[in-house]
Amino acid sequence: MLLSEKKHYYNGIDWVAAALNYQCRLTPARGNNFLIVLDLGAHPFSSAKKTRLLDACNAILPLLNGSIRRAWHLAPYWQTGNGSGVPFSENSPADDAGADSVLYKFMNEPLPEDTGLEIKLISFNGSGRLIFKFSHLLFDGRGAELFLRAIDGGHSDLMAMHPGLPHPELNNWTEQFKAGKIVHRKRLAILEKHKIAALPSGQLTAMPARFRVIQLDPAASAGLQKKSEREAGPFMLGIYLASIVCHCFDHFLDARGINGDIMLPMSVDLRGFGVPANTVFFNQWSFSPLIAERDEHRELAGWIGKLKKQMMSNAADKIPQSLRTASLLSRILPLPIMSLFSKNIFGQTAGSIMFSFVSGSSLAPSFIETPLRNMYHLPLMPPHPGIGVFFNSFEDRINAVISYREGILSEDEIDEFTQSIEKCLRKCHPQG
Amino acid sequence: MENPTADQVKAWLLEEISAITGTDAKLIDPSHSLSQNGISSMGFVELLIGISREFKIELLNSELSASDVASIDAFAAKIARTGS
Repeated sequence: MLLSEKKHYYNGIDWVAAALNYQCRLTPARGNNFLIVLDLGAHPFSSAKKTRLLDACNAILPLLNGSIRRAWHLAPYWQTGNGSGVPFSENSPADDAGADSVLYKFMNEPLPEDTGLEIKLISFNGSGRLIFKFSHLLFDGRGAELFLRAIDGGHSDLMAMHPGLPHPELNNWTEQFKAGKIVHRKRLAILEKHKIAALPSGQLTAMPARFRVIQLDPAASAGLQKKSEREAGPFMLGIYLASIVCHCFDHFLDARGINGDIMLPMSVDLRGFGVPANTVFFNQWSFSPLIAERDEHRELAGWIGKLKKQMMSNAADKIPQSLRTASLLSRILPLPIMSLFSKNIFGQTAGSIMFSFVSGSSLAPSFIETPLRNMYHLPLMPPHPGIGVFFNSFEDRINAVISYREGILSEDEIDEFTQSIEKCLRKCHPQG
Repeated sequence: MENPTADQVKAWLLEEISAITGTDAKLIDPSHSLSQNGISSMGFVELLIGISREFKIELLNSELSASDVASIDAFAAKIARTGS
């Protein structure tokens, strides 16, 4: 391989992810990582399967083991490396609680230096969980699913997919500045009209990540989907889920006596139809900043109406695409400055609460010939804003993960917030 | 275009879906649902914006149901009914 082929230029959103990684440098995990948890429907995951999994991962080791560099023209890129194989470990706790404890410990451990992936297998009570820890410097949520699909399919030629930008994208300056102007105006318009409500997260820079998981069974998931179609319209499940988050977070902010409107930075997947193979690696998302006024319309229908309108207006103004193009300009910034900007983008905060919905999973119902009961994403929240709700669908199930930094909410508060979201999600189901 | 017929809307939809999904318009099956033809929620929002520009119809807050998007034919008929 030619040396130049080892450079995979970062896009602007990769640089945002790198800034979030920098924000997490003092946390126990020391980086902006996320997990994908596969609930194995059959166990044991035999040693032959482990070998197959690790062989497939190790085939692309130079890309997985890399680090960020800057070219002479300042464009950052991912420099492929060498190093040993993908780290893999196993634990056999006594029960579910023990498995949760292993998961919590694993999510808060740093990835070994210059490694983009680590794997853990937990076996307990005749079942198991296969957990993948990914670095956001190299993967986004959907990309990680596509990666697992490729590993399952035995595609060891992932390196041939030209991940990352083949060129530094230092051209089209007019287009980049035009996009920058659109984004800047949008941001100013929000800041002029709204004070953004946020939880105090200034002291959380070194706190561990914590999480709660809500798993809906197929019947409850189908009920939720139907209710969303009825109340928000077709194709609006993401907006419906975002409205539930606003609805519950609004109550929580009220209880805390925090004023201001809710800013929901909703992540939007910019991959086109058919999911091009070269979008497995690096970050292919952008943001649609949704502002939800805490006015008199604070019932669920009120939030749905406000968010739908915003989503339409952002799409009409091509905000997510402009954000992606404009962020190319930000790559010149050193990470400490980029980090400072991204955590204060809306005044004193990055937003009120993060939200994403990874729908239509790319994964098959089995992984390396092992049936899967469920699969969910477990992102580690950066300290700002310190809390997020992340949904995904797998087969006929919908999952929600509430991810937060320890200390942003008390245990009672997180229990209450989780219960309120679960109650809303299950409301449409007779057993809910 | 104001007061379009269902056929006019359908022809426009096929072109628009082809542009959004990158699929050849000839390969799009109007009897299949929007999602079966590759439309995601972001793609659907793009379609709604296009419909608003082309036919001056705001579908966002209208009574759209799952059956209205069960096929491109059904969606075209809904748009034509709303616009008339």
